[in-house]
Amino acid sequence: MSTVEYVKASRLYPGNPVPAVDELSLEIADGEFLVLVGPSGSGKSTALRMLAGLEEVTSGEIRIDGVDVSDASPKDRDIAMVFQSYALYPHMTVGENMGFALRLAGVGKADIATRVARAAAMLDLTGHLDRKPKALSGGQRQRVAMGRAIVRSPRVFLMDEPLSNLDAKLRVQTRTEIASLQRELGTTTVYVTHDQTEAMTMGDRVAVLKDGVLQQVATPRELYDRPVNVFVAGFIGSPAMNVLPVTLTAEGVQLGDLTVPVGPAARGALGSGEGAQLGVRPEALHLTGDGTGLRLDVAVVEELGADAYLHGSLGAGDGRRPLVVRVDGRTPPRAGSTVHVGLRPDEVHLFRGGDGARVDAAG
Amino acid sequence: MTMTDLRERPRLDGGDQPPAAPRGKRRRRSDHPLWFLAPALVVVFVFFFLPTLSNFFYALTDWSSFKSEISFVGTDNLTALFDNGTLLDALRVTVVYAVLVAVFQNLFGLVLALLLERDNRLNRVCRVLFFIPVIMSALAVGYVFQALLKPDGGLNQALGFLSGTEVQIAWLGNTTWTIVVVALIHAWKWMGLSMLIYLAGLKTINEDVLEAARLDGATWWDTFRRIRFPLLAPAVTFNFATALLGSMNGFDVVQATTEGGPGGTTELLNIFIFRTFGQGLFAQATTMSLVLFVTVTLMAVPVIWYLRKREDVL
Repeated sequence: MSTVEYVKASRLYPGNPVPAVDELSLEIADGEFLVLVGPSGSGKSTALRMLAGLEEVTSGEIRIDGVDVSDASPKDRDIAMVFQSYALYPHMTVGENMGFALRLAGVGKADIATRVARAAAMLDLTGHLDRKPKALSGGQRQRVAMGRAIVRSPRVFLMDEPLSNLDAKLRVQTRTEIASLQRELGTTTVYVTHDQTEAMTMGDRVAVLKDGVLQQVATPRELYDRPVNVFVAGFIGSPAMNVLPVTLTAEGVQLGDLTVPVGPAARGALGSGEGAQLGVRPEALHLTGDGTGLRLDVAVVEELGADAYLHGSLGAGDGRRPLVVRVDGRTPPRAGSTVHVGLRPDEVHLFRGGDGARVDAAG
Repeated sequence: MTMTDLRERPRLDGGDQPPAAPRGKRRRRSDHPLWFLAPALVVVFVFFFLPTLSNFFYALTDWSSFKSEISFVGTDNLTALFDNGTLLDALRVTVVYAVLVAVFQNLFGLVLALLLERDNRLNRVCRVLFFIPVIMSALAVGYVFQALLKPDGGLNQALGFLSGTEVQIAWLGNTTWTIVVVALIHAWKWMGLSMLIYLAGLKTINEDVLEAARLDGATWWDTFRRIRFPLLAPAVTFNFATALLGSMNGFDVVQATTEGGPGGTTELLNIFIFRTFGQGLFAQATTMSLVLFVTVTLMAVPVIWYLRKREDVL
């Protein structure tokens, strides 16, 4: 049961003027499941390793339960980590792997056996305790790595892309298992992934990083509905949000033949309107059927059963922009056809030019 | 040639032709006729098998420079060497020497590898320096150490300078400890090779595993004893087996330093063979070399089998 705080924590690698993690400030509540997400090179793994003590904190602080641990060695932080490669000890049995930390801590043999057995039961590993990692499947190895963390009852769990080496089906299943296990144990968890679906489905809150800088930290719902900038808008959601350049007019912003009204405050925030962009998720678009709205040339139709996604382009010539629209899966238009789409004005996002920050359209 | 062949090979039209056909053809082409092996086999046969086989034969004769003809004497040579204690003495000295060398060489190699593990300029230079003895002539190494370890040699002078009194230790003249000193020289010469193999072994250990151990609360020593050393098993197998079996066949270092002395306490089988051959007792020398051959083989099998077993889990 612990809280974690990053206070302007930075990691600068020697010989590189750009910090891998740049003044990260983040508070993680007791028992919370926080996901760090971002593309590769965004500094999410570095941020996690700083908390683990495997990377130096070059400036700022990291606190666990309010105590600065920036200079504490990993073993003194009482944290457990699940690695992407699982990092199991290949020469030890499953039981020995799980009990290793306890053995080093001088816990009695009987006590170790009890705790290992309890964790093994939770993870369905009871029958495999005497086997070596080599003899296990990928999913079982992943569970051993989890077990090794659980057995210690640490203050914080750290997970660095623990599902990346599993096949797609197992990944979805394990995702749920980890999330429910974490809720059952109530241990504060920091989870790193590059997969926004994983982030959205598992996290109580999600922190989005880009180039070492924290973009936004919020609940999955908030991130989806109110992304603070173009980057978060494009990163969260699958398929990604459509982001289209718009021009500012007297009535609002103009996209092709469509005009989206904006409030006076938004108009002020947009300034000259130079570089302004409009974001609209595929499900906020719909087929009009009566020839009004935006003309879309459908190039590809992705049928997913319940839904279908139309991938097409708006406009003509140099002004052509790609657009994805979600439609009913039962009656999708054919590829190569031309359709007209409308959008729900209350579900659009406006981003100003320059820094791409969010502007509330209604404001 | 191959390029042309690949380019000219007809393409498969459609999917009706079984893919096995072209693959079979390619396999035939890449296989060379067995008789290509003949020259190599002849060399191996003439220079390795034939001497080994004749070894078996001459060991059963009374071949020597004192007789004009060779006659068959059965196991007389072996019995004689066994009865007068020479065989067992030489065998014991050889095994003790080999074990000492194997232990020292691995110990030095491993310590060096751990010290020079990190990749920086100083370590790279040191690795090269410690590897130099490996490529030096063993006889040269032996003579250098012989000069250093003489009663009035460099080591005693240095010790005398440091202690302020005259030091006259006969490093190479002690019937109990000289074998250890010579084994240390042998190990010193070859430790660079063990170091190199241990360095390679250390590099193959997954960094994540070591980080996991740190998070599990392992100290440097815990990590070494419980994680890194067990994971070095393949390197240990190779280093221990080569050091043990290589020093069973040892000759040059011992010949250059003690010539088997003092009092035969460092007389390895090879030194004995060299000496008896020089005396013209060819049959006896041959018998001993047969004993050495059999001993090395008998030791190699269980040692390698045991060490391999440790690698099974990796």
